[in-house]
Amino acid sequence: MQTADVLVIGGGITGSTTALGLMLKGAGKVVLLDEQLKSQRLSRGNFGLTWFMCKGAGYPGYSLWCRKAAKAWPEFAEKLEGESKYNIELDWTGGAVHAFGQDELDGFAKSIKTIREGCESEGIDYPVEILDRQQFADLMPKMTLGEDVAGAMFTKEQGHVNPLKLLGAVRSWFQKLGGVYNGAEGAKEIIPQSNGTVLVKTATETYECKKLVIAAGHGSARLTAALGEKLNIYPQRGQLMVTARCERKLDFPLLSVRQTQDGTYMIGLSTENTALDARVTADAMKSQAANAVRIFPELANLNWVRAWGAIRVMTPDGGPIYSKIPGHDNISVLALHSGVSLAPLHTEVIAPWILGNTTDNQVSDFSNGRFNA
Amino acid sequence: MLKHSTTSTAEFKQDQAPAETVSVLLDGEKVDLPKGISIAAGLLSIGEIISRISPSAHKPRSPHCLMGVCYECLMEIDGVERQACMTDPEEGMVINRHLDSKGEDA
Repeated sequence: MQTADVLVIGGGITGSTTALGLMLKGAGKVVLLDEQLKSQRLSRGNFGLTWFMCKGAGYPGYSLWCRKAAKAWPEFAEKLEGESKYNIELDWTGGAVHAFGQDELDGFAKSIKTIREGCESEGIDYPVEILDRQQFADLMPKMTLGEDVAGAMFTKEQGHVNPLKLLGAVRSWFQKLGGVYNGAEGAKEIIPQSNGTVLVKTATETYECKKLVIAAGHGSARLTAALGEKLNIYPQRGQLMVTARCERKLDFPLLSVRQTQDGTYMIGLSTENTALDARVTADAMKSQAANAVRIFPELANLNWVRAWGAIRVMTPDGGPIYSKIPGHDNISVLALHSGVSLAPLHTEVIAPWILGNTTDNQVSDFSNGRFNA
Repeated sequence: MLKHSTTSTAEFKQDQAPAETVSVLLDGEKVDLPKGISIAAGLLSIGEIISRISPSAHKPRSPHCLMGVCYECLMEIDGVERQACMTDPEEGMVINRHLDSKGEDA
């Protein structure tokens, strides 16, 4: 039997950033278990955007949460790089969403106005602007826009990172602080004890912890179901394609096209409901390639070298779930799809919330119970 | 232009002279490549180690995997960016390696 003050099940970006926060907030002995499930690996399949723009249209609480995360990102990244000595390849140079045709651009303007009003009523700025075609082109002097592009929405206050380096950096800092990382170890069974502790059994070990965090992607649903809590999540597949390394020309990411610091273009952002099937399909690749070439015709001439599919965790309203299991206030569950964008809040806000030291009263908006009407 | 004729040609010499060669235009110069092996292997066999200058890192690259995976042997072959390890040489081919973009010392 091993003991921990807090045990975190799930070593992806969300579990790791939360475990890091627990160490930073003095939670004591924190143990992070990572099953390293080959078939899903959500944190290794994502696009690396740190994004708030237009997240939560029609869901003001989520917009606000994403904006707060983006505001916290530059300082979070600076500390993370300083402490871990990793270069997470952060470009904090802005981000854009292209519009095909004037109608789409007008739609963006309306949506931004609504979200901005929601944020400003809570005292948070919402610095997103609409650019016409020429203004958008001027931001990317080395790229040529396709003729259908009418403009874009743009903000200077977001960016992108290398998500693999981010995951490595977070776990490195966590371990430097004394956190215990046990890879290739999955939780099989959770047994709450009458003395207020929780037993967690893996294939090889039993852990006794005072607090438990479940951040196991789609594995979380099985674990919470055994505790009588139905987790309202479903799998959604996204596919990505990458090029050989090219001259760096695109200095900031678009929602569907980005170029990494080593010159690789990535395109993606398909969404399909295919259960846990992570395969790639020719249809999705054709469709996203056509979209990318419509934005930047020159992408058609590049060598596209790889493609992969990965599974997101989606909720019915798109927002994250941060919930304590009813009847078990010492068991928290985190289920969401924007682990990169929300990383600073998981370290700085969710970790204290798990410990019962909530400083942000917005967390309660994101309970799993909101779906049980 | 980066100096690309290296000193370490011996490692890649063929055991025996190829029975047949084809003549191609490599970076504007006429060279003979062995017939029946890929352009990448053929270039290595005549001592041409460098396949291109990386457009992002600006450092010289060499064919690495020789089986179509690493994309380090991308070069312009008859006007198209292709993997030299996956392409056989043909008489009269025009091959450009982009060795004069921005070399390591540029």
